[in-house]
Amino acid sequence: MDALASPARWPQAACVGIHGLLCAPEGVAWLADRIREERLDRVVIGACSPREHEATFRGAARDAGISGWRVQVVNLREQVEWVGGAPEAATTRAERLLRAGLARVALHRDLPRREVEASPDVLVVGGGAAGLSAARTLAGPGRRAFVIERELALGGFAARTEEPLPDGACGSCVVSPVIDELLHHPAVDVLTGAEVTAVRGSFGRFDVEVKLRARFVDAERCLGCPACVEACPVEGPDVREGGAGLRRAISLPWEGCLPYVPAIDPERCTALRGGACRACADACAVDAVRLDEGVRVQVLHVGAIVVATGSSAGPASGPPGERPAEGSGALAEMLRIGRADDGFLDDAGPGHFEPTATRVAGVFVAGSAAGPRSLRAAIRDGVTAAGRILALLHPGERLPVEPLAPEVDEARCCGCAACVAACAFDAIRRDPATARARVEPLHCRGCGSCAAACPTGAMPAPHSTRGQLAAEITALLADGGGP
Amino acid sequence: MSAREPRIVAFLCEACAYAAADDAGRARYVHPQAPLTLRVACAGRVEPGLVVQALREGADGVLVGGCHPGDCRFVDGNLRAASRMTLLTRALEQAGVEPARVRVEWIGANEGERFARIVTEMVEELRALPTVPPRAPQRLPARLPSGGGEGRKEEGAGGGERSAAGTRPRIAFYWNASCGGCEEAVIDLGEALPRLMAQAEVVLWPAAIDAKRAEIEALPDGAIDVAFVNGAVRLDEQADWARLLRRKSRRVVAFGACAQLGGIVGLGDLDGPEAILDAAYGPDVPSVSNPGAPGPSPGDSLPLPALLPRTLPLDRVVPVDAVVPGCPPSTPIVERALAALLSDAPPGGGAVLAPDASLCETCPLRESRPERPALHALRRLATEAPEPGRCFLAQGIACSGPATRQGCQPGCVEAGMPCRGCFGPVSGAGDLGAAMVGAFGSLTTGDGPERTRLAAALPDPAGTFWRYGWAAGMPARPRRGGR
Repeated sequence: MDALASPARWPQAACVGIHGLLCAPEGVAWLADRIREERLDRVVIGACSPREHEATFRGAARDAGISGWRVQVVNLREQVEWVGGAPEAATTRAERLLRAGLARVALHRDLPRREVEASPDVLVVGGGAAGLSAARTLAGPGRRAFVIERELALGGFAARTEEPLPDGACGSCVVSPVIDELLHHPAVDVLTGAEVTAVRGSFGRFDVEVKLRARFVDAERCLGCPACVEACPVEGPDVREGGAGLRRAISLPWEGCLPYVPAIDPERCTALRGGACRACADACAVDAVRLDEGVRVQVLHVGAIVVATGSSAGPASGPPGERPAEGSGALAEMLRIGRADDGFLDDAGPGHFEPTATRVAGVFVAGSAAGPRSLRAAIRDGVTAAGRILALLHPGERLPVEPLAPEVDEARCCGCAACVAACAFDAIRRDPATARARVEPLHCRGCGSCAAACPTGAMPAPHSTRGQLAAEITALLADGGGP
Repeated sequence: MSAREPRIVAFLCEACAYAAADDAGRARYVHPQAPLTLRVACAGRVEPGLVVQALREGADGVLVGGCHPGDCRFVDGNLRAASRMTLLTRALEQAGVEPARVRVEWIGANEGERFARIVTEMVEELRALPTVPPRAPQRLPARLPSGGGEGRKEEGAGGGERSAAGTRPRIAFYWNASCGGCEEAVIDLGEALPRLMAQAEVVLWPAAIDAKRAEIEALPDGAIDVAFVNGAVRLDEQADWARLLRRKSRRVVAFGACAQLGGIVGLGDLDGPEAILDAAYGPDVPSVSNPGAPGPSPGDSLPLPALLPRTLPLDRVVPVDAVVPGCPPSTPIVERALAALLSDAPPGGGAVLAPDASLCETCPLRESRPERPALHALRRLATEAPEPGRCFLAQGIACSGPATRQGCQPGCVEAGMPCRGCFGPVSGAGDLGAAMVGAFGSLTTGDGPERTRLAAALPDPAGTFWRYGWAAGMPARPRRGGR
């Protein structure tokens, strides 16, 4: 160590020192003093693994008035001393690593610290029992809950099941009061006929793109009278219920559904297929029919997401039992959460004490989307996920913007979009106006994959630039340091 | 056996493999002091050019350590790394670089024992291989003091750049290992050629005029204003010529892809000089009739030039003032280069005399580039015609347009063929082949094995991505035996 720390060995360093216990408070103070007194603007520290105390030493640098980014920790304990072998081999290797640290730190640049306000709002995907219970727990002062449901009515499996609970209560008796509460809740937005089409961002700041298919009836105006249904001249077998019964082209999703608003089946309605029929619109006393309604796309800004997409019964021909709801695989991919071998979503999270959590911070899975559940268990899951979110995401909270998000060098970018393909977080787009890549720092996680993909050197990967890594490599391999 | 202990440049993902290296030390799994470690956020950050750099600068091996598939905190940065590294290692293998030298390994954070085992294994394997001859760090074409070559004295500010005020500038054209296309490129100047001949005095041009080496040797140093040297340096005699012209010329210009990057000639390095001589003159060549295979005997005088161990771009032999890229350089590029070089303020410092902008930007197919390119299958020009009007990369056809300079137009892409990079890299690309491997390897989709399969399906990655740049970019290798 004494040989390594001889100032003569490091002509490029302004100051070389040894401290026996650099990570202790007196060591940190000593380090800050050295930086101040010697007016150092960069520091290389040969110590234990940076995984242990990089943050400590960066703090010391900030205490001394320089940026924490100007500290490079070289791992001389875990990865050199404790590796064993001949002491000379360890010493020469330590010297190479320190030399690389010096070469690298010379190229370090301060990165700006930016913060954004986190969104306290939560998206609940799926309006079944689990989703309803999550939304009910979450919605309140300072926090909105968005419930999106693929069907045109809420309640999911429970709403259409006779006796989902052992006490004999009917399904709709269990969920309808909650649906009604949420439909009228000032902090809840219910979007029916809605599916997630893209998810970007991370905990505290997700942007979720939602596609809403048309109901062709304005749910805000509709009073739920049967005039339009009765006026509809198109009637045919009700394929949804196995062909039993008849059904008009405009009808309720199911009897007793909530919201109690009919919808037009675009496959069967003659008006929507170019005909002149306006029977339902003419019959409506409150002018709620919207024959010209199209598909809408909406982007929701939320801080957390609860996936409660439920399950479906096994196919008639296949083995009995439940399987993941259709589309839950695609949703898992968009959310980047894991799936078990049977296709159900992984709710194992980072540990046993985080039920309903996934491997993605801020994304939770509740109910039978994670595997078969009783109605009670599904409801409990919803509350559990909501509870975790309430504990983690506070209104007004500010979150740091990823400091490692690259800024595209527009002069070099050719718009080939290799970086777009390389980004797992959909944080890069090609700007249609400039045909240059653009990084959304709120969606970036700083992995640097785009920098490895960019063929023109337009993606700099802050704190891991090509120049910094190249200098490190050259120094690691430079001769003059023994084996 | 190596003379020294193997050096392994290890790119370790900080979440997994780097933590495993710490764990190996903490648990005192004794292993060789071989890894020269760079801590990266993710294996996905490791750009192929850095691996090539490490090998070029004398690393005996390179280890890329990432998380196990499914564990990557950046979703699939590890798989992206695997895809890129598959392309790279296959190209290296084409040149006889042993697969043991570059390893991609998944090492979990708690797998210290596995880390120690991998390092131990790698060191044992590398010990059995020849030592890598280190090469100086790659530089851009060597920079000269402004406006001058070797032995040249700076003239007074009013003295101009000419050999003597009022006289015609003297120029020389010379060919090293080349195909003759660069001579054609000069002839193709058409009507501009006689004007050039009237404006300048051509003292050397083996393709067109009779001038002897002795005449050039007799000139005072610096007597030639501009020497255009095409072709790679493949023979000792060519290196001599390069040095002679450097001495006699104020400006030396690398003319064409072979002089700039080694060109097609450089692909000979995939096999090495012995294999090349064998292929051309060996006993198994059908056109060779040499019964008894008499060769040179002691005492014979054989004044034939000798093949160098590897192909050298011109700037590896002498400092180069400017580069006219292309295979061959296009007429507009040659015209502009001549005008600039014969002007009162000629370019220097190794300037590449073609727009520093990506070919992609002027590609007629650019509007068809997908927003998010993704390859599910590769297509080969040998077996399938490219779909007209559609970006080659989007079709799964390798195209080096993104990393390649403009200047050829109209060139291959205008003729419906993908770019092979003859105009060399844009300045941000570094090594063009490595840059395109990073980009192309980022476009593969599917699970880990599928991406690797796609990357492995590209035939001849060396000849595809390094068609013109192998000699300039790739590490020198001791070759043992033929292919």
